[in-house]
Amino acid sequence: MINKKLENLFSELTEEEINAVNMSDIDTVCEIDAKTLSKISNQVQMKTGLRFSDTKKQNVFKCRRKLKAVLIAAAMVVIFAVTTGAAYRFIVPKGLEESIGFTSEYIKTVIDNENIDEGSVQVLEKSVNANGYTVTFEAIAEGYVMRPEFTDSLKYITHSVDKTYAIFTIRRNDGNKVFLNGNRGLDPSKLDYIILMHGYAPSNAMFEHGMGFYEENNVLYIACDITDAYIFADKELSLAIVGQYFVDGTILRMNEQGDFYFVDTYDGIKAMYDLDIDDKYADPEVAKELIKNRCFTTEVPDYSESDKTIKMDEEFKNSDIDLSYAIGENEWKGSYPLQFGEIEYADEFKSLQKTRPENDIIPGTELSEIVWGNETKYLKEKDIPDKFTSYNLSDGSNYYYVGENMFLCFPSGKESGQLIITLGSRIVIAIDGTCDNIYNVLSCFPENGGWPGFMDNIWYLDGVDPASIYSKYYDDEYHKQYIKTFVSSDTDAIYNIVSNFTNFEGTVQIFNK
Amino acid sequence: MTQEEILALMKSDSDKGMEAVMKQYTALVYKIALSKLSSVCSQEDIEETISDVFVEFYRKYETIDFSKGSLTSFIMLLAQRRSVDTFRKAVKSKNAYTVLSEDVSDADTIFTEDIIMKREERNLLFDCILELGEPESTIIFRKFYFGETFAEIGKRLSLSANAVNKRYLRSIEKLSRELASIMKGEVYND
Repeated sequence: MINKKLENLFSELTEEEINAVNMSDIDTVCEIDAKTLSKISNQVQMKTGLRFSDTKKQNVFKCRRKLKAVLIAAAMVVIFAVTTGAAYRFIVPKGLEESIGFTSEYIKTVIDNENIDEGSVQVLEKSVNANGYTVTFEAIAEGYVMRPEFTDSLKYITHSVDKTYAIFTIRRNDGNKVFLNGNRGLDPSKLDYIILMHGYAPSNAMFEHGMGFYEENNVLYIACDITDAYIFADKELSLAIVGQYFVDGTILRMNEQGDFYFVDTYDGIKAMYDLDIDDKYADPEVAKELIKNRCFTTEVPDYSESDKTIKMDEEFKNSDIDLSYAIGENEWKGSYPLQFGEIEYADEFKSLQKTRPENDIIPGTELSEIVWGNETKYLKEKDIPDKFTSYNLSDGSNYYYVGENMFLCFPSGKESGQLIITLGSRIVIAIDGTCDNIYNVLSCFPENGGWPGFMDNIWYLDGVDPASIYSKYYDDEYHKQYIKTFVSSDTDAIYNIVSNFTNFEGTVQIFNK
Repeated sequence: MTQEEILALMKSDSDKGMEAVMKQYTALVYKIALSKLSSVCSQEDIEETISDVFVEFYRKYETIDFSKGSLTSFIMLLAQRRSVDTFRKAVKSKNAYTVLSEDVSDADTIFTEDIIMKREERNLLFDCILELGEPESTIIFRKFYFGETFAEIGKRLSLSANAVNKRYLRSIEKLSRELASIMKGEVYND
């Protein structure tokens, strides 16, 4: 709407408005060819009776006209043909614009970006015909999405977050509908995408990427968030369209150092593209921090018995891409504590409940029993470290980073999920249970680093008014005291906190180094 | 040449004076006409409009009141008015779509009250644009008034196109918020 108002305003400025404009740099750079200039000059002379001395090449400026697509109906696909040094083509239908938070206008401005013309970011327009699909990497586009947050004065505002997206289209060659594995479940008929680094796939937590997608006329349009990938531009990055995300479920392991790690497996790479990002965008310090915060390690544990993280269907590879990857050869491997999801996570912990920890738990884990209600749980005997570590894990609408050291995981549309609390780099409390009132749960989170982080993700919660939650519980003395006990790093305090989560019941599992 | 020199030349030798005016301002007038007419007019019509601007200037330059504005702003105003007139005629005759509104189908609906901003809102928006400061207000002006790309704007402001883009996006968001809150009578602190 603001764009329309601006167009309206500038379509005809008043004399006062023109006089108010900064004229110091108003001379434009515009090229008029000699013939046009001559024609105009001749017309003026004819109409006024004046006679000029020389009308050839009086003004030599540069001006570039752009073809301008006209929006006729909101539902129509807008296609821009931009005649610059490289041939770019992109298709952003209305639905995809809404799902990824920016419009084709922004994409067009990105395409106009000289940096792209210079090749610092590759717009590929490459198609791969694989296994009955045609996958086309259309373009890389920049835009922004809106995020809500609270200011210091507790005023609720929104702010923009810059994002960079890789735009894909996927078509089935038989013309049938394409299904995308948006929730990363176990449906082998659906496609998914991952970002690979040196051929490994730590992408889910590593790049904290989201995705917008839209289906129209059996063509799937996907916008893959590759914003974080730019930080790692000095690494070998690629983006792959894959088949089934998990082959045999989550593999959750812990090494001798107490690091949890999770191995992604994928079945069948349908298409892969190099994210040929200029390494000038790389920021090793930010990358290092990001790795640390997301519980990655650059050390390579000895997982010689591990399966390869990528299962490749060589019949359908892009012939320009080398798909021969290896693991454990001085390449770093991503790891992070937990893969959230109803199926994988629950299964993993259910198996732990059934057996004694000394026998079946991942090597390196030492657990002992605790009593939690009528259930026997397992607790690490060692002291809980004082240091808090933040795990910034999020994946779309299911996982909420509700504050430092805490995440809430609610599979979309369900009331059961997990509350994850960390109190150090090695400890995780997982509370698996049900909650029929998310407001009550969210109200229990402490102030200490909690609310801003929580509010960053409130965007995903439909119908939630963060202001009402915040104002309702912020001044509550009970919760202020509650906050103090939480940060004390005391084991008993942890259970005090947990016991006060309204309607949360079920399993408590604690892992520690 | 300064505006005083041009006007002095106009008075002493109108042929040379107009020649100097056209040398200095044709590009500017061309830019304005192009941004407003490229979607509805032929190149010939645009050229005709430009020539009419300078003809009008020739007939009115002695009326310029420098206490209100500069020579540049005077020519810009002429260019804008001529372009708008040409635009209206072209839309009426061709029944063309415009980018002012997706639903506009003829010239009569372009300028109804529903589409034209109320003066109060218009003034507020313009003030908000000026309050953006530099280079944001220049970016907004050049993009919407001249239809320049971020790359072109960046060249003028010695910024990368990407930097211009980011400033533009943030400015748009800020304008949207400020206008909304002012119109609602709220006080908004960023």
